[in-house]
Amino acid sequence: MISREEACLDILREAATIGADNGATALSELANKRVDVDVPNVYHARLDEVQAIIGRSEVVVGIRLIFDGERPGSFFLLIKEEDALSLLTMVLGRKVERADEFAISAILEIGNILVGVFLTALTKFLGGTLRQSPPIMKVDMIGAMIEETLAEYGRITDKIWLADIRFMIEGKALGGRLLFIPFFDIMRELLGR
Amino acid sequence: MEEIDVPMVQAVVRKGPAALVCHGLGSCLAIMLYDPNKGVGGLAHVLLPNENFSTTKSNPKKFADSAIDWLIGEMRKLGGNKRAFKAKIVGGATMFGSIKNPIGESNITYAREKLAGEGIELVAEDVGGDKGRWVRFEVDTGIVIVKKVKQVGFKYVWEELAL
Repeated sequence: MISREEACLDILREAATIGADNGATALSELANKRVDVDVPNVYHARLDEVQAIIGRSEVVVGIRLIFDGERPGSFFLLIKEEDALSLLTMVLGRKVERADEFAISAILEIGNILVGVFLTALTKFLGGTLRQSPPIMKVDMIGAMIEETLAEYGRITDKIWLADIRFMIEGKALGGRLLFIPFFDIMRELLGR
Repeated sequence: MEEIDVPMVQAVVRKGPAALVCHGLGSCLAIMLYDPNKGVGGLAHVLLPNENFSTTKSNPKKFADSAIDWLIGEMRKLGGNKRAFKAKIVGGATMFGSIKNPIGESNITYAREKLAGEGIELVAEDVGGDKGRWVRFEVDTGIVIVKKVKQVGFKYVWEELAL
């Protein structure tokens, strides 16, 4: 007999997998390479456990996208600096060694596309409409970047739902991940089916 | 020296040599109290200003004002004398750009007000801005080290400061 928590995690995993598969296809077309994605790790984590799962003082290139609508939430694309440069090299088809304005613009756009296809898949799966905000980039500690989002969730809960998605390009881990943190009531999604 | 991580919505007090560390403060505020005479101190890693900001209020360490109450109570149990307490605060950044009423700013305001209300001297702070902070607090000496990331394209360097 499956618990409600387990059933909610199953829904989240299913939704994240569908989004991630679409994301992998988009990334594959952008980078012109084979992209695979593992089954996402999903969590219903206490606020004090989140940083241990996601990352604390590791410094990465972080891109945050928030989305609104019937089912709001946040995405964080977190990539180590050298992997961001490799990714851009693949996508832009030329050696990218520094983050000039063009490179920064390109990585924001990659984030935009990845989240865009994820959300399109999500709305097909769950219905409704979702509006995506413009991506914002920061280079900083992972733990610090997510705190404002957790504060927002902390207004109504002490546990958050989280999906952790890792992409592999030509069999190699991207060195980064996409975090999907839904702000909507997964329990309601479960009961509605 | 014993080093203890203090994740968000948690707080730790200790007597004697010990270092309390927050590994990635963004909008959260690290509130540090210490009694320099008794070598007792504590750190609270708070998420929200006070319980009016949340519908779930069961954890006093989640909020700046109740976390300060908690720290005061626990430090007294370890022999601290409230009249000697000093405070330092670090954090409360707004990481992703201008929004109305950023929570980091409210955390700072409420912490300052609560400390003033309790008659506890705020001796040092490194707050606000748009950068994350790593902070290490030695409970017996009150020494605080803050590290921040300075972004250079996708690269970065660490900047360190002592409070």
